[in-house]
Parts: sequence; structure tokens; C-alpha cells
Amino acid sequence: MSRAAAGNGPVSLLLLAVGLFLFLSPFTHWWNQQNLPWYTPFLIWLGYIIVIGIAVGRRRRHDL
Amino acid sequence: MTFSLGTLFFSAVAYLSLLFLVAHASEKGWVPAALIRHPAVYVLSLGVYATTWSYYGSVGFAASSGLLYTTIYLGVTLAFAMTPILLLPLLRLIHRHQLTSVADLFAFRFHSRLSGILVTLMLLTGSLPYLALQVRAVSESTQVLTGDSSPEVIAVVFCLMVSVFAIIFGARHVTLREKHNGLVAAIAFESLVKIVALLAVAWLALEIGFGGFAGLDQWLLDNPQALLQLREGASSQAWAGLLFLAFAAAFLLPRQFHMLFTENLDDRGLRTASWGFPLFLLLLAAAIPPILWAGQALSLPGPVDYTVLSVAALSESPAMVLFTYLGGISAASAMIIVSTLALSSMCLNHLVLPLTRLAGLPDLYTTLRWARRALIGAIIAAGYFFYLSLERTEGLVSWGLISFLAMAQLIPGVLAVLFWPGATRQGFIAGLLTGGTIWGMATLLPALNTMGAVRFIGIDLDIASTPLEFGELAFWSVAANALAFLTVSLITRQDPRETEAAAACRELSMRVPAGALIAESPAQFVEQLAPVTGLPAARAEISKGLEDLGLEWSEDRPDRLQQLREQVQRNLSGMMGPVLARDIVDECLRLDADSRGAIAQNVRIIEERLERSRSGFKGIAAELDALRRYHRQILEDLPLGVVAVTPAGRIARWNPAMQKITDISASRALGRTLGELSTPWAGLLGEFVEATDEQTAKRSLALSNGTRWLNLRKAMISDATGTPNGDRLVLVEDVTDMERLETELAHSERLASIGRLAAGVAHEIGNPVTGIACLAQELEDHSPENQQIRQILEQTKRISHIVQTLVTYAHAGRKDAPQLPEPTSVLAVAEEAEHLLQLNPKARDMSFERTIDPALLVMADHQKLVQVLVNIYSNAVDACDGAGKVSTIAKPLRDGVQIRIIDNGRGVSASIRDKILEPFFTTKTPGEGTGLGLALAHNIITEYGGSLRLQPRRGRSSGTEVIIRLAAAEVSEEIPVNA
Repeated sequence: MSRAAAGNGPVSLLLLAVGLFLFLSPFTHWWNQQNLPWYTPFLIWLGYIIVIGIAVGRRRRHDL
Repeated sequence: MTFSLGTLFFSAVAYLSLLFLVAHASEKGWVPAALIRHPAVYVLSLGVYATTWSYYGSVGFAASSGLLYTTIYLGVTLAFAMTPILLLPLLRLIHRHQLTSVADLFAFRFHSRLSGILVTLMLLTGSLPYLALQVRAVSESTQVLTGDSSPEVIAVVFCLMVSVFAIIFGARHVTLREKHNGLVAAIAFESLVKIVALLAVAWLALEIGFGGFAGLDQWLLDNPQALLQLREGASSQAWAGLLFLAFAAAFLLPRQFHMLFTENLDDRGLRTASWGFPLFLLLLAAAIPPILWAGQALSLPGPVDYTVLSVAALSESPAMVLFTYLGGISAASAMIIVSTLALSSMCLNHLVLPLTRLAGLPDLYTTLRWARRALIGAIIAAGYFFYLSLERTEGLVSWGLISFLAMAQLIPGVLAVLFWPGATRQGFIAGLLTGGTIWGMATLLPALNTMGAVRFIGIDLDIASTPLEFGELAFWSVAANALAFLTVSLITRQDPRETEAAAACRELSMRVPAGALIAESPAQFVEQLAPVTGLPAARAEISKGLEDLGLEWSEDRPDRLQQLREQVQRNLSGMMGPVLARDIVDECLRLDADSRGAIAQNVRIIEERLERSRSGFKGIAAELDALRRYHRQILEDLPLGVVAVTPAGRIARWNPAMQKITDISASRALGRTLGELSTPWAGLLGEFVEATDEQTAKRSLALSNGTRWLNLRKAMISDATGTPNGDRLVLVEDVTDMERLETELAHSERLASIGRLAAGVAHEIGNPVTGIACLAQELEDHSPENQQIRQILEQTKRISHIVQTLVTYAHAGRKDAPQLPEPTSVLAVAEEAEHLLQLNPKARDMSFERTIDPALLVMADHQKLVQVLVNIYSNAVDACDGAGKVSTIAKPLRDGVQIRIIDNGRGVSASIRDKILEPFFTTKTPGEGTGLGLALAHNIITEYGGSLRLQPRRGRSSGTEVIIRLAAAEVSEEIPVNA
């Protein structure tokens, strides 16, 4: 893992894990089966993007 | 609603002209640079990812596969979530080594021309179906709006228009290391048009199709199968496979790689893009369901892939329909322009240039520029022919997935670049050939309707047309690719250059140039490079390298020239690819392999690389690096000047103490020979290094700021076995202060001796003077009117007073008993000091003025205060060159007494004002002043709790003002006034 990766690996991997949990796991199947409004997948997606933004913003303050 | 072909043609031409204007305005600087470089513009420029597939094809994809269409965006979101460990390291690697394409990246990592060629071929053939998709979407959308026009003709016209734009704005610079501001601005503008158009159509779908959100909800309640069909996609077996394909495409598609990395200016944009770009894609994706359902609810006619146009037509506004159509033109043109730009660069670097003899070219830059333009035209033409050849019965999506699957074959290679330094080029090539063969046989060849049915080992290969088939192919082809890569890498070995490149990819390259450069100056670089690149290009490249490093044409330091060589290689890499650049540099800027690469000569290069790689060290390497830094810090903090000299006489270390002693910075000294240092250091150090003596003590050196005395020692530096390796270490100790102290002490001792002698002489004089005074007194008693006797008496009194003052002054400095402060008359002190000073012949022409209240008393010792004023007056006399005026003004303040001594001499310059109270600081020539007078005065005043400071005379251009503040004394009956 290169220099840039060294200090930021855990955050990125955590974000990836959250992404996989939301979009590529039995949880994906579960939320898709619920009788939720049609825009629910997009709201989940938006929530994930907000999490990415917050995580990257925090890393930037700590010199990503 | 139908349009004439002419209307659509002129609309498209007008729109592309607007793009020309945007690009041109940005190139010319009419648009503020801050706006062009804003992260938002960068994020929008990444919107080139969303092509006509997203714009038109997503509705068809959603109709057939439900939410599966979102995987194409969700995969990108996952890739961007990994920005810190995936995209940022790639960006830094690409910028550091001036790589401009995916093929450059792999050719650099595996140090293999074949890798570059294979990746280029893979990306080229993989991109052609995608280019064809854009041409098809534009021609079909035009056909939808016109009804009866020939799609082939429309496609040709569109290809021509886009080719012109790409050639003009995409190939302006000969090297992709120059950023295309105009192109970035135009692509960002296109993304803006695209998203605004799609969102506008989605809004129309909601309003016209359902009367708003509530109407949509009601329609979904009435038609539950529509929502069920949408949801089915997320449970599809193709879901994971398509997510993976989109993940790979997010940064490996040539256009994505180009906008993400090559046109990127800094990390900031990428950080914003990590959330900004997924947000852009989310908006695009969220617009699709309402459009799809509006089409279904209203049973709109026409192909489902072009429902976007049908919904726009519901507005019954030709402007709205045209705007929507131009959104599609935007999506297609942006993709074609950026893709062909990236592909042309790859083809040039990896397919054309290796076969070209550069030396025969009259003008390298012009030739490269035209070659790139020709390649852009050729690639767009190839895209057009693919459009003619590909099976058009399939939806737009399947053509796009053919490209995505090609890009996915590079994922094992990317992981190796970032995380597996042991991967070999044979492994990479084996993997790529395996995955590429499966891709070609299973997707590309069957899709070409000109090929007919393809048989492979007796098996009929049918075209992969459904997302599920692509998902499965993604798994099997990449798995086979990775397996071949892994197996072959484990059974083959890297060559040293590949190992070095792998380390460079992980910022751990410690390669030290093996041998000395034959060229000794940048001019010789030009001479050596010219036979291959031609003289103008050689001169331009060396000039650019010097500019990048901040060096001059006169540079001759070997380590700087080594850096220049590496910079030239990096710059050539940006123009011709890393392999060719390295070949050219190795061939032209040769190293003398016979000369020993002394480690001292490369200390700076090694240290710079270690500093860059520091945070990547782990375990024993990190410990060793910490130890290295500790030892280096010892040398840096040593209060002795340290100079390491190579056998060739070049300076390899120059610590901060040496910078302070010589006033020569490390950057100016390092790499130079001792003889190139400024006078007198060149002579001093050069002679000492050559001399047989190991040390020399108190060597005096005349410098502009006075004489300095130095102790020099030297030692031979040995290698690990204790054998001297020819490097020498010189230690320089500045003993000027010590030498000056010794001189001044000797001088003070002499003065003290003279003082004691003077006191003795005064005593001896006092006795006969007393005798003379007695005799004169007797004579006066006999002749009281005799004026001459009275004069004798007055003169003897004067002699006695002088002698008494001298003796008292000589005894004043003794510390036999503590002298407590007591009320002392300022006037009496000033008078006595003046009196004493008048013994100095230089002060005979001075005029003294006093403005002192006789009743003004301070708390101090009389004799010590006299000494203070004598010292200050003496300096004033020197400053006035013996003919000036000294005024002493004393006045009471609320918290003490202020005594100001003002002279009209030449004053004290600002540069030495801070140092003037330091002991031994003097502006007088040696022997004339001790540098102790003012320091002593300051000490005495401080001892009595007062303060002393100097300042220029107020309101005058010359002269000095000494201001003393002391505590005021309160006189009582019991305390006698010392006067």
C-alpha cells in the first residue's frame, strides 16, 4: 500500500464495507422487498454519499 | 412533433459552436481562472461518464431490467468512496511520473513496451463499440425527431463535426502534461446541459404524465406491477456483476482516466469529486423512473430507448424538444471528444512512435501534433465503421457493456500497481491475454454482424446480450485473467528495472544513478539529445526541465544534472510514453558506468527520496529511517561547521552552522566544488583539504564584516569496513568571540596596569604638590597682594583636585565592599565626569552643556555614576571626532529621574543599534576601543534598578541620545548627600 493509502486505508475500507452492505448484501434484498416508496433506493444512496462527504471532509482537515 | 433534418443539423451546429465559444473563452482567459479550476467544474467535467447510454439508454435499461440500471452509477459511487486508497494514489503516481493514459501506467509499472501495446489495443477495441453507441444514439434520436432521414448520413455529419472540435481543442498541446482548460470547461458545460435537460424532462414527465408526485403515487398504487418490475432489478443475479463492471469503468475507461487524472490539477478536485460526482450520477439516475413510467402511463410511441424525446414532445414546445435533443448531442459529443483524445495519445505513444525514427523528423512537436490529430480522425472513423458493423437489434446498453467488460480486464493490473510489488510483466500479459481473449470471443466478435456466427473449439458463440450474461462474463473473464496473472507472476521473476518501477509506484524507489553523467552541462544535454529528437525539440525539452527544477543553463553540479536528466525523462514520458522516454534518455543522456557512483555525491537525491517515502516505511525500515534522521540531526545541530567533500572535491554536506559561519546557504554550496565557493572560503577550505596538516588553529580570515578566527580540523571518512573511501570531513569552529575576548582581556589588563601606575604616579605627584602648596601659602601670608603666588596656589589646588579625582576613579571599580545606592547629585556627577573627560586631549575642543537642577538626586553610587557618564561622554567625543557638543539634561519624572545625554555626532546606524550594548561590540579599530564602555555603563545602571537605552537624536538626521532612568532619591536630614 502506498504512502497516501497508508493513513487513509481504514476509512476507505470502512466506506467500501458500508457501500457493499447497503448495495451488495442480503440487506439490499431486504430493503428492496419492503413496501417502501419508489424513491427509497435513491434516499439510501444519498445517505451513503453524505457519509462519504463527511468522511472525506474529516480526513481533509487531518491532511488526507 | 417532427423536425426537419436541416433544423436539427443547424441546432447541433449552433450548439457545437457554443461549445467552441466556451472552450475558446476559457483558453483565452476570458473566463476567470478561479472558475475554471473550481472543483465544481472538475466534478461536472467527470460527467463525461454519462453518455447517450445514460441519457437515452437508461430508460430502456430500466424498462427491461428495473433497478439494475442504477448499478452503472452505484459501481462508480463505490469506486469514488475508495478515493483515498484507490484514486488519490493513482493520481499522485500519474502526476509524479507524467503518465497520461492507462497504457502509460501499465507500461511504466511493468517496464514493458508489450504491456503498453496490449493495453492500448484492448482499450481501443473496447472503446470502439462505445463510440459506435454514441453515433447510433445521435443518428437514431435524429431519426426519431425527423421521421424519415437516413441514419448513416446523419452519423457521418455528426462524426465530422465532433472530429473538428476534438482536433481543435483536444490536440492543442503536443504533450498531455499541458492542461486543456478549454476542453475541461466545454465538457463541464456539456454535463450541465445534459443534467439540466434530463431533470427538465423528468419534471415534465411528473407534471404532464401524472400531475405531480401525488399523481405518480396514485398511478403506482393503481399499477403495482410497474413498481414491482423496477424492484426486480435489485434482486437480479446480474446485480453484482454489473456493479463490478461499473466500478472498473469509473476510472479505467479512457475518457474517465483522462478527465480524472490527466486533466486534474490537484488533490482538492478529486476529494470534492469523491462525493460530488456520485451526487451528479444520483440526480441522473433518479430522473429515470418518472420518465419511464410517464412513457408507460401515456403509452408513448417510438422506441423505449428514446422515451426521453417522447416525453419532451409532450410539452408541445419545439424549444424544449430541441433542448432535450441537444442534451443527447452533448452526451455523445463529450464522450467521443474525450475518448478519442485519450485513445489517440495512447495509440501515438504505444503503437506509432515506437515504429518511427524521430531523428528524421523536421519538427518533432509539429509532427506529433499532426499525428495526434490524424489519429483522432482515424479513431472516430473506426467508431463509425463499428457503428455500421455492430448488430443493431440490441439495445444501446449491450454495446456499452461490451466496453465495460473490456475495461474490467485491467482491474487485476491496477490492484498489482497499487498493492502487489511482486507482480511480473509476464503475469500481467498472460492475464490480459486470457481475459481479453474471453472478452473478444464472447462479446466483441459475436456482436459484429459482419462476422456471422463464431465457432470456438467447436462451440457456437452467441452474442452476450442480457445484463445477466454480461454479469457472468465479468466474473469468469476477470477470474480467469486474475488466475493467469497470479500463476504466471508466481513462477516468473522481475528484472531489476521492473522491480525499480514497482517500487516507484509505491513511492519507495531509492534508485541511485548508477554512474556519473557524461554530460557536464545543460548545453551538452541538448547536444546529446539532438540526434534523436532534433535540435529545436532537444533545446525546448532541456529548457522546460530546467524551468521545472528552477535551475539555470549554467548549472554544472552533478546531482542537479542527474535531477535534470530524470525531469527530462518525466517530461518526455508525458509526450511519448514512459518506455520510449526512458529509452531515449538512456540512449542519449548516457551514464559513465565505469565511474564509481559515490554515495556522497547523491546524498541529496537519496535524502529527498527518503523524505518522500518516509511514511511508507514499516518495521525495520522505519526504525532505520528514524536512526538516519537522528544521526543527520546531530550533524545539523552541531555547533561546528561540518563540510563533507567527495574525492572529486564536491561538497556533499554543508550544515546550518557552516551556513552561519560562511553566510553561504546549503542550496548554493551543495554539489559545488570547493573552488567554486566565494572568496575567501574557496581558498581557505581548498588549501586546508589539500594540506597535509590534520588541523589548523586560529586561522584569521578577513571578511567584509571584520576579521574572523577559525579552527579547522579534518578527517577521512571510512566505509563500513574501516577503509577510507576518499570522502573527507572538515570541521570548522568559529573562535572569533574567544579570540576577541582574549585580546580584550589582555587590553583591559594593560589598561588596569596603566591605571595602577597612574594612581602611583598621582600619589608621587601629590606629595611634592602639597609641599609646593604649603610653601606658596607661606609666601602668600608674607605677601598677600602678590598675584603670582595666588596663581601658584590656584594651580596647585587644581593639580591636587585632578590627582585626587584620578586616584578615586582608579579605585572605583574595586569590589572590596558593596557600594549601596545613596542619594547622589546628578549635577555633581556630571561636573566631575566632564572634568575627568577634559583630561583627554581629544575632548579639548568639545563643548559641554548642562541643564540639571542642583537639587536633583538619584539613588546610585557617585563614583560608579561618574564612570557611566565618562564612558558615555567618551563615546560622544569619538562620535563627534573631538569637535562637537554634548548636552546633559536631567529632569524628574513621576517614577524617577531621566538623564538624557545628547550629542551631535555621526549617530549609530540602525543595523548595529541592537548590538551596541553587547560586551566587546565596537565599531572602533582594534586597540582603540574595548567594546566594554557602554556595556559596563548599562550593567551599572541596571545594577541600580534603572535602564539605559540609545536612540537616534529626535528630530535630527545625526546625533545620538542616551537615555538613563534611575530611581529618584528623597533627601532627609539623616542621609548626607554624596556630592
